[in-house]
Amino acid sequence: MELMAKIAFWIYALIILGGGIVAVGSSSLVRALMGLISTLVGVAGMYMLLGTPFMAFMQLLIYVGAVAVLIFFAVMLTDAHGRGDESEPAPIRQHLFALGAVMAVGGVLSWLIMNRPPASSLVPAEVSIEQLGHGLLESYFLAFELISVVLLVAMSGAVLLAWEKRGKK
Amino acid sequence: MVFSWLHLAIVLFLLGGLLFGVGPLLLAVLLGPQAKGGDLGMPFECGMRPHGSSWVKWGISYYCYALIFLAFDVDVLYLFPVATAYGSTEGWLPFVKVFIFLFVLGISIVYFWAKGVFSWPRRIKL
Repeated sequence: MELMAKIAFWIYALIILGGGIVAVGSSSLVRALMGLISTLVGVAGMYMLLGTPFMAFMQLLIYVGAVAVLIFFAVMLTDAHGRGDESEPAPIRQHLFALGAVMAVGGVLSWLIMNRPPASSLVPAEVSIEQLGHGLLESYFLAFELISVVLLVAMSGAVLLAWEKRGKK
Repeated sequence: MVFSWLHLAIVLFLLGGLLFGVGPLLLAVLLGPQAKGGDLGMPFECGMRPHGSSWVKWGISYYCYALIFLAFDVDVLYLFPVATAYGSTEGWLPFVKVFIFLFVLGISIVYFWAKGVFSWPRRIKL
Protein backbone atom coordinates (compact mmCIF):
# COMPACT_ATOMS: atom_id res chain seq x y z
CA MET A 1 0.00 0.00 0.00
CA GLU A 2 2.95 2.32 0.70
CA LEU A 3 4.13 1.89 -2.90
CA MET A 4 0.59 2.46 -4.22
CA ALA A 5 0.40 5.69 -2.22
CA LYS A 6 3.67 6.90 -3.79
CA ILE A 7 2.51 5.99 -7.30
CA ALA A 8 -0.81 7.74 -6.68
CA PHE A 9 1.02 10.82 -5.36
CA TRP A 10 3.11 11.12 -8.53
CA ILE A 11 0.10 10.54 -10.79
CA TYR A 12 -1.87 13.26 -8.97
CA ALA A 13 1.13 15.61 -9.08
CA LEU A 14 1.35 15.03 -12.86
CA ILE A 15 -2.41 15.68 -13.26
CA ILE A 16 -2.11 18.90 -11.22
CA LEU A 17 0.93 20.15 -13.14
CA GLY A 18 -0.46 19.16 -16.55
CA GLY A 19 -3.81 20.76 -15.81
CA GLY A 20 -2.08 23.90 -14.61
CA ILE A 21 -0.01 24.15 -17.78
CA VAL A 22 -3.12 23.68 -19.94
CA ALA A 23 -4.99 26.28 -17.83
CA VAL A 24 -2.22 28.85 -18.28
CA GLY A 25 -1.13 28.07 -21.82
CA SER A 26 -4.34 27.39 -23.71
CA SER A 27 -5.63 30.17 -25.94
CA SER A 28 -9.22 28.95 -25.69
CA LEU A 29 -10.91 29.90 -22.43
CA VAL A 30 -13.00 26.74 -22.33
CA ARG A 31 -9.92 24.51 -22.77
CA ALA A 32 -8.11 26.51 -20.07
CA LEU A 33 -11.04 25.87 -17.77
CA MET A 34 -10.88 22.14 -18.50
CA GLY A 35 -7.22 22.28 -17.42
CA LEU A 36 -8.27 24.04 -14.21
CA ILE A 37 -10.88 21.35 -13.55
CA SER A 38 -8.32 18.56 -13.95
CA THR A 39 -6.02 20.42 -11.53
CA LEU A 40 -8.86 20.59 -8.98
CA VAL A 41 -9.56 16.86 -9.43
CA GLY A 42 -5.87 16.16 -8.81
CA VAL A 43 -5.99 18.24 -5.62
CA ALA A 44 -8.99 16.15 -4.51
CA GLY A 45 -6.81 13.07 -4.99
CA MET A 46 -4.14 14.68 -2.80
CA TYR A 47 -6.76 15.20 -0.07
CA MET A 48 -7.55 11.47 -0.27
CA LEU A 49 -3.84 10.72 0.22
CA LEU A 50 -3.80 13.04 3.26
CA GLY A 51 -6.45 10.84 4.87
CA THR A 52 -9.31 13.35 4.60
CA PRO A 53 -11.84 11.77 2.21
CA PHE A 54 -14.53 14.25 3.33
CA MET A 55 -12.39 17.17 2.16
CA ALA A 56 -11.75 15.33 -1.12
CA PHE A 57 -15.46 14.83 -1.79
CA MET A 58 -16.24 18.42 -0.85
CA GLN A 59 -13.43 19.58 -3.15
CA LEU A 60 -15.15 17.69 -5.98
CA LEU A 61 -18.64 18.87 -4.99
CA ILE A 62 -17.81 22.55 -4.51
CA TYR A 63 -14.86 23.30 -6.75
CA VAL A 64 -15.43 20.90 -9.63
CA GLY A 65 -19.22 20.92 -9.30
CA ALA A 66 -20.06 24.53 -8.50
CA VAL A 67 -17.08 26.86 -8.99
CA ALA A 68 -16.23 25.39 -12.40
CA VAL A 69 -19.86 25.78 -13.52
CA LEU A 70 -19.83 29.35 -12.18
CA ILE A 71 -16.69 30.16 -14.20
CA PHE A 72 -18.25 28.52 -17.26
CA PHE A 73 -21.28 30.82 -16.92
CA ALA A 74 -18.92 33.78 -16.47
CA VAL A 75 -17.14 32.76 -19.70
CA MET A 76 -20.52 32.51 -21.43
CA LEU A 77 -21.22 36.14 -20.44
CA THR A 78 -18.03 37.40 -22.05
CA ASP A 79 -17.10 38.03 -25.66
CA ALA A 80 -13.95 35.90 -25.58
CA HIS A 81 -13.39 34.53 -29.07
CA GLY A 82 -9.65 33.93 -28.80
CA ARG A 83 -8.68 36.69 -31.23
CA GLY A 84 -8.48 39.52 -28.69
CA ASP A 85 -5.56 41.67 -27.62
CA GLU A 86 -4.28 39.04 -25.18
CA SER A 87 -4.14 36.27 -27.78
CA GLU A 88 -0.65 37.32 -28.99
CA PRO A 89 2.20 35.35 -27.42
CA ALA A 90 3.77 37.04 -24.39
CA PRO A 91 7.43 38.17 -24.50
CA ILE A 92 10.02 35.76 -23.05
CA ARG A 93 10.80 38.20 -20.22
CA GLN A 94 7.26 37.81 -18.90
CA HIS A 95 7.61 34.01 -18.85
CA LEU A 96 10.88 34.34 -16.90
CA PHE A 97 9.23 36.65 -14.36
CA ALA A 98 6.34 34.20 -13.93
CA LEU A 99 8.79 31.32 -13.45
CA GLY A 100 10.70 33.36 -10.86
CA ALA A 101 7.50 34.11 -8.93
CA VAL A 102 6.55 30.42 -8.87
CA MET A 103 10.05 29.36 -7.81
CA ALA A 104 10.15 31.92 -4.98
CA VAL A 105 6.87 30.79 -3.41
CA GLY A 106 7.50 27.09 -4.09
CA GLY A 107 11.08 27.36 -2.78
CA VAL A 108 10.02 28.94 0.53
CA LEU A 109 7.21 26.40 1.03
CA SER A 110 9.34 23.35 0.20
CA TRP A 111 12.20 24.65 2.39
CA LEU A 112 9.76 24.94 5.29
CA ILE A 113 8.40 21.42 4.75
CA MET A 114 11.88 19.91 4.39
CA ASN A 115 13.35 21.58 7.47
CA ARG A 116 10.38 21.97 9.81
CA PRO A 117 8.08 19.03 9.07
CA PRO A 118 4.88 18.94 11.13
CA ALA A 119 4.42 15.92 13.37
CA SER A 120 1.53 14.62 11.29
CA SER A 121 3.37 14.67 7.94
CA LEU A 122 4.26 10.95 7.92
CA VAL A 123 1.13 9.48 9.53
CA PRO A 124 -1.78 11.91 9.18
CA ALA A 125 -4.28 11.84 12.02
CA GLU A 126 -7.71 10.94 10.70
CA VAL A 127 -10.60 13.10 11.90
CA SER A 128 -14.01 11.53 11.35
CA ILE A 129 -16.95 13.50 9.99
CA GLU A 130 -18.77 12.98 13.29
CA GLN A 131 -15.93 14.62 15.24
CA LEU A 132 -16.09 17.54 12.81
CA GLY A 133 -19.83 17.83 13.38
CA HIS A 134 -19.47 17.78 17.18
CA GLY A 135 -16.82 20.48 16.86
CA LEU A 136 -19.16 22.63 14.77
CA LEU A 137 -22.06 22.14 17.20
CA GLU A 138 -20.06 22.67 20.40
CA SER A 139 -16.69 24.45 20.37
CA TYR A 140 -17.06 26.32 17.08
CA PHE A 141 -20.77 27.01 17.43
CA LEU A 142 -20.50 30.77 16.84
CA ALA A 143 -18.41 30.30 13.71
CA PHE A 144 -20.93 27.76 12.44
CA GLU A 145 -23.81 30.23 12.81
CA LEU A 146 -21.79 33.09 11.36
CA ILE A 147 -21.03 31.02 8.24
CA SER A 148 -24.73 31.04 7.38
CA VAL A 149 -24.80 34.84 7.82
CA VAL A 150 -21.72 35.22 5.60
CA LEU A 151 -23.34 33.07 2.92
CA LEU A 152 -26.58 35.04 3.22
CA VAL A 153 -24.67 38.29 2.69
CA ALA A 154 -22.72 36.82 -0.25
CA MET A 155 -25.84 35.55 -2.02
CA SER A 156 -27.97 38.61 -1.47
CA GLY A 157 -25.06 40.88 -2.41
CA ALA A 158 -24.76 39.12 -5.76
CA VAL A 159 -28.51 39.31 -6.34
CA LEU A 160 -28.64 42.95 -5.22
CA LEU A 161 -25.90 43.92 -7.67
CA ALA A 162 -27.03 41.94 -10.70
CA TRP A 163 -30.78 41.57 -10.30
CA GLU A 164 -32.37 44.88 -11.16
CA LYS A 165 -35.29 44.55 -13.53
CA ARG A 166 -35.18 46.76 -16.59
CA GLY A 167 -37.49 49.74 -16.53
CA LYS A 168 -38.00 49.72 -12.79
CA LYS A 169 -35.80 52.70 -12.06
CA MET B 1 0.31 9.28 3.07
CA VAL B 2 -2.76 7.13 3.35
CA PHE B 3 -3.93 4.83 0.58
CA SER B 4 -7.11 2.93 1.38
CA TRP B 5 -9.15 0.45 -0.62
CA LEU B 6 -11.86 3.11 -0.91
CA HIS B 7 -9.32 5.29 -2.70
CA LEU B 8 -8.43 2.48 -5.12
CA ALA B 9 -12.13 1.84 -5.77
CA ILE B 10 -12.71 5.53 -6.57
CA VAL B 11 -9.72 5.57 -8.92
CA LEU B 12 -10.97 2.41 -10.68
CA PHE B 13 -14.46 3.91 -11.11
CA LEU B 14 -12.93 7.14 -12.47
CA LEU B 15 -10.88 5.09 -14.94
CA GLY B 16 -14.04 3.24 -15.95
CA GLY B 17 -15.82 6.53 -16.55
CA LEU B 18 -12.87 7.84 -18.55
CA LEU B 19 -12.85 4.69 -20.72
CA PHE B 20 -16.59 5.08 -21.26
CA GLY B 21 -16.03 8.58 -22.62
CA VAL B 22 -12.72 8.19 -24.46
CA GLY B 23 -13.32 4.66 -25.80
CA PRO B 24 -15.90 5.61 -28.45
CA LEU B 25 -13.73 8.56 -29.55
CA LEU B 26 -10.70 6.27 -29.95
CA LEU B 27 -12.77 3.68 -31.81
CA ALA B 28 -14.09 6.39 -34.12
CA VAL B 29 -10.53 7.51 -34.89
CA LEU B 30 -9.30 3.95 -35.45
CA LEU B 31 -12.24 2.40 -37.33
CA GLY B 32 -14.23 5.28 -38.85
CA PRO B 33 -13.64 6.76 -42.30
CA GLN B 34 -11.40 9.82 -42.27
CA ALA B 35 -12.82 13.09 -43.58
CA LYS B 36 -11.54 16.64 -43.36
CA GLY B 37 -12.66 20.18 -44.17
CA GLY B 38 -15.99 21.24 -45.60
CA ASP B 39 -18.90 21.56 -43.23
CA LEU B 40 -17.26 19.41 -40.51
CA GLY B 41 -16.06 22.47 -38.59
CA MET B 42 -19.48 24.09 -38.68
CA PRO B 43 -21.38 24.45 -35.39
CA PHE B 44 -24.17 21.89 -35.47
CA GLU B 45 -27.67 23.27 -35.27
CA CYS B 46 -30.40 20.75 -36.12
CA GLY B 47 -29.07 20.26 -39.62
CA MET B 48 -29.63 23.86 -40.66
CA ARG B 49 -26.90 26.38 -41.45
CA PRO B 50 -26.39 28.42 -38.28
CA HIS B 51 -26.46 32.21 -38.27
CA GLY B 52 -23.35 33.93 -36.91
CA SER B 53 -20.67 32.34 -34.79
CA SER B 54 -21.17 29.65 -32.18
CA TRP B 55 -20.17 32.09 -29.45
CA VAL B 56 -23.37 33.51 -28.01
CA LYS B 57 -23.62 35.80 -25.00
CA TRP B 58 -26.00 34.41 -22.40
CA GLY B 59 -28.23 36.13 -19.88
CA ILE B 60 -26.85 37.01 -16.47
CA SER B 61 -29.64 34.93 -14.87
CA TYR B 62 -27.49 31.83 -15.35
CA TYR B 63 -24.66 33.46 -13.43
CA CYS B 64 -26.94 34.46 -10.55
CA TYR B 65 -28.32 30.94 -10.32
CA ALA B 66 -24.79 29.52 -10.35
CA LEU B 67 -23.76 31.91 -7.54
CA ILE B 68 -26.75 30.94 -5.40
CA PHE B 69 -26.08 27.27 -6.13
CA LEU B 70 -22.46 27.73 -5.06
CA ALA B 71 -23.50 29.34 -1.77
CA PHE B 72 -25.95 26.55 -0.96
CA ASP B 73 -23.29 24.02 -1.94
CA VAL B 74 -21.01 25.52 0.71
CA ASP B 75 -23.89 25.21 3.20
CA VAL B 76 -24.09 21.50 2.44
CA LEU B 77 -20.38 21.25 3.26
CA TYR B 78 -21.17 22.34 6.84
CA LEU B 79 -24.48 20.49 7.09
CA PHE B 80 -22.94 17.08 6.32
CA PRO B 81 -20.77 16.88 9.47
CA VAL B 82 -23.48 18.44 11.62
CA ALA B 83 -26.07 15.97 10.32
CA THR B 84 -23.84 12.98 11.10
CA ALA B 85 -23.12 14.28 14.62
CA TYR B 86 -26.74 15.27 15.27
CA GLY B 87 -27.91 11.72 16.03
CA SER B 88 -25.60 11.36 19.02
CA THR B 89 -26.51 14.70 20.64
CA GLU B 90 -28.91 15.20 23.51
CA GLY B 91 -31.38 17.90 24.46
CA TRP B 92 -32.85 20.84 22.58
CA LEU B 93 -29.72 22.95 22.24
CA PRO B 94 -28.30 21.25 19.08
CA PHE B 95 -31.75 21.52 17.47
CA VAL B 96 -31.83 25.27 18.18
CA LYS B 97 -28.31 25.69 16.78
CA VAL B 98 -29.09 23.88 13.53
CA PHE B 99 -32.43 25.71 13.35
CA ILE B 100 -30.70 29.11 13.52
CA PHE B 101 -28.34 28.03 10.71
CA LEU B 102 -31.19 26.89 8.49
CA PHE B 103 -33.39 29.86 9.42
CA VAL B 104 -30.78 32.36 8.18
CA LEU B 105 -30.59 30.45 4.90
CA GLY B 106 -34.39 30.40 4.75
CA ILE B 107 -34.40 34.19 5.03
CA SER B 108 -32.19 34.36 1.93
CA ILE B 109 -34.65 32.17 -0.01
CA VAL B 110 -37.56 34.41 1.07
CA TYR B 111 -35.55 37.46 -0.03
CA PHE B 112 -34.85 35.96 -3.46
CA TRP B 113 -38.51 35.05 -3.80
CA ALA B 114 -39.60 38.59 -3.00
CA LYS B 115 -36.96 39.98 -5.35
CA GLY B 116 -38.24 37.78 -8.17
CA VAL B 117 -35.09 35.74 -8.73
CA PHE B 118 -37.07 32.54 -9.29
CA SER B 119 -39.25 34.07 -11.99
CA TRP B 120 -36.52 34.08 -14.69
CA PRO B 121 -37.08 37.54 -16.15
CA ARG B 122 -36.30 38.02 -19.81
CA ARG B 123 -34.46 41.30 -19.48
CA ILE B 124 -32.33 42.43 -16.59
CA LYS B 125 -30.77 45.86 -16.34
CA LEU B 126 -27.00 45.54 -16.10
